[in-house]
Amino acid sequence: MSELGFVAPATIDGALAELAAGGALALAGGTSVALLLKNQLTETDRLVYLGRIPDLAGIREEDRQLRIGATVTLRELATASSVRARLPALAEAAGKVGNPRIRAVATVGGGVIHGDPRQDLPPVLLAAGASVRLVSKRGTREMELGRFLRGFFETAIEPDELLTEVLVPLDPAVRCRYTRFNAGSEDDYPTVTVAVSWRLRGDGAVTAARVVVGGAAPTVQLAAGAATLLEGAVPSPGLIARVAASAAAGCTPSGGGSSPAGYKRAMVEVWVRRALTALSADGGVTGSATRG
Amino acid sequence: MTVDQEADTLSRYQRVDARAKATGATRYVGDLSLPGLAHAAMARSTVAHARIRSINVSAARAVPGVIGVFTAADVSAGLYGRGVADAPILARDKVRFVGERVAAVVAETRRAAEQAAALVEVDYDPLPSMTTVEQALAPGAVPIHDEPWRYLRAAARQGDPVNVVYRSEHGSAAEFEAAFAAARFSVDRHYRTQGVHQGYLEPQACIAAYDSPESVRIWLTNKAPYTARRMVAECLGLEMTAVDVQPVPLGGDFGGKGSPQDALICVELSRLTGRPVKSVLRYVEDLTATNPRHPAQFRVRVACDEAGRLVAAAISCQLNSGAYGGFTPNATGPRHVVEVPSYRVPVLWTEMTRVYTNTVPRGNMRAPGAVQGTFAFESALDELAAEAGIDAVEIRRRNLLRTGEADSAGHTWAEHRGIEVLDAALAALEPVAVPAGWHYGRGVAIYSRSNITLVNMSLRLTPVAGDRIRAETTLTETGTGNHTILRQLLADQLGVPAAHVEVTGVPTSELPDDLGAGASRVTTGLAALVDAAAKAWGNRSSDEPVALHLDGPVEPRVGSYTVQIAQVAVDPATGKLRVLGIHTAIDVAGVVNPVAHQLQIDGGVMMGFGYACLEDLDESDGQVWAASLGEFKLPSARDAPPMTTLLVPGGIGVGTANVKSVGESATPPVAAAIANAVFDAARCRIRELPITADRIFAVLREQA
Amino acid sequence: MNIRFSLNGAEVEAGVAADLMLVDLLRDLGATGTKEGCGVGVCGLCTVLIDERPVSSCIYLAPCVDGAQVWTVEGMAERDPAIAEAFTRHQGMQCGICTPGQVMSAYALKRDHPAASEEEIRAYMAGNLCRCTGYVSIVTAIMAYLADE
Repeated sequence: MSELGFVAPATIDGALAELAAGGALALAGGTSVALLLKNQLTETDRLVYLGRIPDLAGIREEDRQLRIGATVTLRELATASSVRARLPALAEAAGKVGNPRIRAVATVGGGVIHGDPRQDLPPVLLAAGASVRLVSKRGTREMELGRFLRGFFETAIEPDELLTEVLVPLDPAVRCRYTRFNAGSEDDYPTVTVAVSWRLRGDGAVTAARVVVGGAAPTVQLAAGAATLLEGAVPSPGLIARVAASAAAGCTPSGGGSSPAGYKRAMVEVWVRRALTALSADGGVTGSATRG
Repeated sequence: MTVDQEADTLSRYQRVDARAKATGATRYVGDLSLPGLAHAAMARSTVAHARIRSINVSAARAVPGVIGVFTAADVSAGLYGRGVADAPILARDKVRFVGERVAAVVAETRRAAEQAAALVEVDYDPLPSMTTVEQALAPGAVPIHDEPWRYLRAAARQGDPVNVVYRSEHGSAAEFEAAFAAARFSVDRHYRTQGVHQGYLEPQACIAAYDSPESVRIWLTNKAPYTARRMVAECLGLEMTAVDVQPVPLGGDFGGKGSPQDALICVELSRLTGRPVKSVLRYVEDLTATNPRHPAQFRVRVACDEAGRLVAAAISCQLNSGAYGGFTPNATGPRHVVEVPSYRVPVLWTEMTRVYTNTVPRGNMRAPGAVQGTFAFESALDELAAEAGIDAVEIRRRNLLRTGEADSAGHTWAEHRGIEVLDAALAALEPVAVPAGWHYGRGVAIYSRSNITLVNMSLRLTPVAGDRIRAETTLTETGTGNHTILRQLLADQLGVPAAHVEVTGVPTSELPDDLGAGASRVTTGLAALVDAAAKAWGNRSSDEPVALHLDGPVEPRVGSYTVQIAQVAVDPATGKLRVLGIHTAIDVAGVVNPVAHQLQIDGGVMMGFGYACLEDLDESDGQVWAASLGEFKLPSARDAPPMTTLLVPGGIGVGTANVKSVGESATPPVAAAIANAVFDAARCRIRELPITADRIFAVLREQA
Repeated sequence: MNIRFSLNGAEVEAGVAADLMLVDLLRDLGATGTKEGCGVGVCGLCTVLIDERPVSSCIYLAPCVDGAQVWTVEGMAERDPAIAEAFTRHQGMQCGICTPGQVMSAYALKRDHPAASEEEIRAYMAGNLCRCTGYVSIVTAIMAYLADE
């Protein structure tokens, strides 16, 4: 039994070389990797620590995009003035994760590649139209987050790839809200998460609506029917109720713990309705029509 | 109170161990080491019930750093248990629950020991597993223990049904049936309580140094060191005087640290390897393989006349005892589960069956039996009140015992203050803010307990230079503050400043005996002990130490009542429950340390809240699925509901200090108070714990 | 591999396996004030500060602490004795096993939210479990610490 190796490259290229060589496991905050190691669930022979790579850190605003480095911590994301100003729902979601210790260490990149459908960030990122940048020695590609999150704890990342950035489009006309519901302890994974966003037109109708539900399917899910129902319509309680019902019908929750599948489905309906109601009550684009 | 007065109060009641704990200086068992220390890890069964065909330890032995790998063949065949001695040190011939120890590894490092333990291969021949009470009692069920009546201190009888640890019945079933049938109003209901763990945050740990058959030293996370000594000596065939259990502080107990856990195997491992051996559990082992609370299922029938006076009650309870019965102090188990201490019940019939199943063995946990039983009975009482059209508070007032009346077990207490405490609780109840759109509800539950104080404690007082006194105690400081209470009582009774009294624990070899901390006997026992010590101290003729051992019952039978009022809100759209406040009124007499006393109440209520709303070991198919604190949810500071306490003074206590117990008083009524409040809020009667949003939602859906 | 870091203000060098957790390294070095409870980063017993951030040391890989400043409860007793004083005076503990973690998180809380309300304190401290006290005396102690009493 040879000893586990540990390398801490200083550049992205250095990390990529390690990943290309095979048998390596990348870690940023290391919380997920630590648990894998403690439970003896990995056969890696080498840990590649990303915490010393400056190019993976930092949040930049560029070309109407928020560019979030993979090793940005949740704490940094929650407190960054640019994020709080441009996409407050994202800062809010980051601030709700776990506890201060988790937020101090867990990273945006580490969270996204984990593929856990209960997490707080992916629903907001998906509602905001985010994509991820994946880099390897073979090249660079960008992928929409919805496509990247393939299944239950499964993403599209290849073994020799590094997720370097999460890219979030910034459109001042877009309104976005995040809600999480804990049926039991407040200090637990949420039972369901809902992120909603849309762009308000001058006539009070919405366009490009996204309704995202987490915790009620193997992956975080974009409720496709919801977008169609809302497109070009003025949100009303009746329409919102239909959208919520559609979202609930479309999810595939598994039972488990204290939240049976039927309950989760019912909660999706309640919380999509509540999220959309709150979103439509938010101040909209200046000069728009009032809403109920 | 002025800032100065408050500071004065706080410093008077400061704990002897607070500063060390706040600076990380306190050393618990897990922090200790000895020269030459080796480390142990356990290989555990992955099946619920099976014969062991063979155990292959060759891969485990080959791990670098491993000193030895041992199975039942290498260690004593003696059985151990606090009450009934039915548990083997390592599984011999068969395993009876998932998590049972089948092999033990000793290595130079903990890491090597754990790596090796994971490589032990066991060939199992599966047996039918009975993981529920129903399965274990069903016709044709396979016996988990072949002849349980033969075990030392068994309470099982030959001729009992298969898989019974103990069965008892009190009262006349026939008399009950007649009274019940003739009653004006009655209810017949079933209740279920879940598996929960004590949730002490310090994992169980042990260090054993087998120096020779005449000298075995043990450091153990255990609150009854003399009982541990007895069990080790008894099981391993050693002289009691050869086993010396060392004094240590515990990181929480709540009843879970009364069994010897790894002490027996560590002593054997130390004997076999010639090294001191240390074992520290991983928390998954604590949650899945130690000794959590008994899950219980009840049928409660209770009836009253047109004025709401109880005429008859019957409680039938099955307790899931798990694979072994030896993890409770007596084989009879938590008998409080079928007691009705607070009320006048002319005809009471009860039946309790403690059942072996192929699941983790169950032990005691704060107010054992009473927590489960109070949920069932106090819920049923509310259901009866609804049936009879009588207010839930009023039905209690009409039936609470008054001073002088005997309780249903035939005991006479020094006093019954239930009505007084109930009225005081209601008068002091503050309103709470209710979130918009939520339904508000209020529920009441009452608990009482009484006991003749059974003292069994030792103490040695030695004068030290400068007018100081060293007080050596047999008591383990489990966290409740008992060392601080002892210091205060001694200071008060001996007439010296508390700062002049130094309390220290000593090994079992130094003083005769102690029954151990728990059962709410410590403060009352200390009161009696210190009274006797003060007398002996006053009569001393030299500067020699004064040592005494007090043993026996201390009159009077002192009781106390706890009345709890829960205020809740339910969101009708989601079933989500928010506990807006838990108001606890307790009758007290003399309170030695008001800060420590209040902490026992706060912690007790919180434990009751966790039990009522959050905690569930989530057991099925013989497994505990909530195997980490990420899944077994202890209440956090944010989950914690607002709590208020009203102490109702003027009671009769024990000793010059006039004390009553409080440690187990605040937990039992919480679940029923909340369940009754949820019914008030949303017409949802939840009869299964924990009270979760999805359960409430399901009832709301049905009603709609 | 060899790492070098500052522990409670003093330089330390240690040889560590790649998968050694920080809590085990600290306890092997004799700093046994930091405890392991749940082992999965939930209970908070293992809380330490790394470069002034509160961290669960039971799921923090020791090699990652190379070059960092680590503080534990023993060091905090010297660095900010007011915390221990507040917990002692207000009996913010019973068994004490969670107390080192509570102390470390309290320090981080004061740095991050010096004017925290009771609700904010409870939200921040929610990751530090206590089974004994019911949290009331812990919150009282922290409020006293925040108020510089």
